Amino acid sequence: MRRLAKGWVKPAALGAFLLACALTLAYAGSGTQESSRVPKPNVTTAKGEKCVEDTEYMRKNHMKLLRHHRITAVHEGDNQKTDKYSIVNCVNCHASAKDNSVTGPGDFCQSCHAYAAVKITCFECHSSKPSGSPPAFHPAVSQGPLNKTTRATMMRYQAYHGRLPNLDAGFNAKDVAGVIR
Amino acid sequence: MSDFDTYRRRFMGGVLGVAATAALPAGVLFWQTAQGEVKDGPPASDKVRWGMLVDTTKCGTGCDACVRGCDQENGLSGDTSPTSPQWIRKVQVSNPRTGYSFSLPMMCQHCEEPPCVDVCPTGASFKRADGIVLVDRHLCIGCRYCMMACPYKARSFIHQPVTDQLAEVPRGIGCVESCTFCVQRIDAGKQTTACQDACNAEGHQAIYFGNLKDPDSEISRRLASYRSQEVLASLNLHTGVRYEGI
Repeated sequence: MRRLAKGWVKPAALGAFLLACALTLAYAGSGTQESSRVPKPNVTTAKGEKCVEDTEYMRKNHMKLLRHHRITAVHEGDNQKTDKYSIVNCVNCHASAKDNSVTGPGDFCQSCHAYAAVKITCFECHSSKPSGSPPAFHPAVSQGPLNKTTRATMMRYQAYHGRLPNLDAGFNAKDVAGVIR
Repeated sequence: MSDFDTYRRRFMGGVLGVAATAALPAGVLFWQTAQGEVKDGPPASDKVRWGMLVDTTKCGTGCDACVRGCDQENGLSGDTSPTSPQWIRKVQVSNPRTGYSFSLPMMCQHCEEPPCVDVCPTGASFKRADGIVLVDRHLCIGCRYCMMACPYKARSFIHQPVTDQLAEVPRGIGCVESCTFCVQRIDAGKQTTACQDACNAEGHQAIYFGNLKDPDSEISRRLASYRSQEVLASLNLHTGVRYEGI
């Protein structure tokens, strides 16, 4: 009798323990999503019902659309083809009602880029305010001048030196010559 | 190509360090974004060549209306310190022998053969199909070769961070810039520049702007009837800006 009871209780206790663990983990998991240390980006839009393309498409490809637009706008002087993809158009809809900008903390562009850890350099030159709005204050988020890494810079290096830089050997003045020529 | 991505951060850190040591200009490796957004108007076409004619006999000595108009249109500060961007400068020309003196606005001359485009290492400095010479700030690394190449000293470098840019005229630190013939207006279908409007408003009417390839445009008719000159014509740059009375 004793032996039988013992043989039956052990697996049951183990099962109960595992179930408790699973429930605890599930609870902790759901809790983590709601009270994460990393704030979720603010993707609410102040104006308009829908974007120029589907949300999923824009999330993945907005930079490609902007890049295409900049070529037609700057070099060809043609905005009719792609005007809806212009950065001015982005800002006009996505500027927050709070500070009339897209680069303040919690604003549309800035919050998502902060979440993804991708620096926005657009607004060092482009206005972060809707077009026609009067000049206002300095953007709350500093867009420092450094860290403008570019693939093209690397490619110039490679074109000049015929190889990629040996990063462990350190840099000298000749390396810089390869970049700025 | 994926090698590039794995290298980028360390690479740029190293290069920037060396650049600083070599006391190179801080803007030299920067990569900037820029250029205008517009509504309507035809794309740049080689059937058009935009040009300007300045009648220096009507240009008022001491008047800087064109400069202020330009500053307002393009969001420039109006500061005239040696390091401040200036797209137009008023120049006073005088002959010390005779004492005769006159003034003229000097800006990008929008050459047909622009030296700034020849020297640009990245292709940022370019000439549009309609003859307007521009800087693509997305491509400008701020090396300032174009500033050295320009015989008219027409280009400026932005040393300080810029805030409160106009939506139509993006501009920012680390890029070279110059007169754009108010390209944002042209791409929007207008055919006047801010300096011309300001000059007319002041009552001088010294600036004509229009299509040099259209024989019926006001500027072409005026060029055909009066003597005008390029500045430094011996360089054979065939500038888009010409002057009367120099």
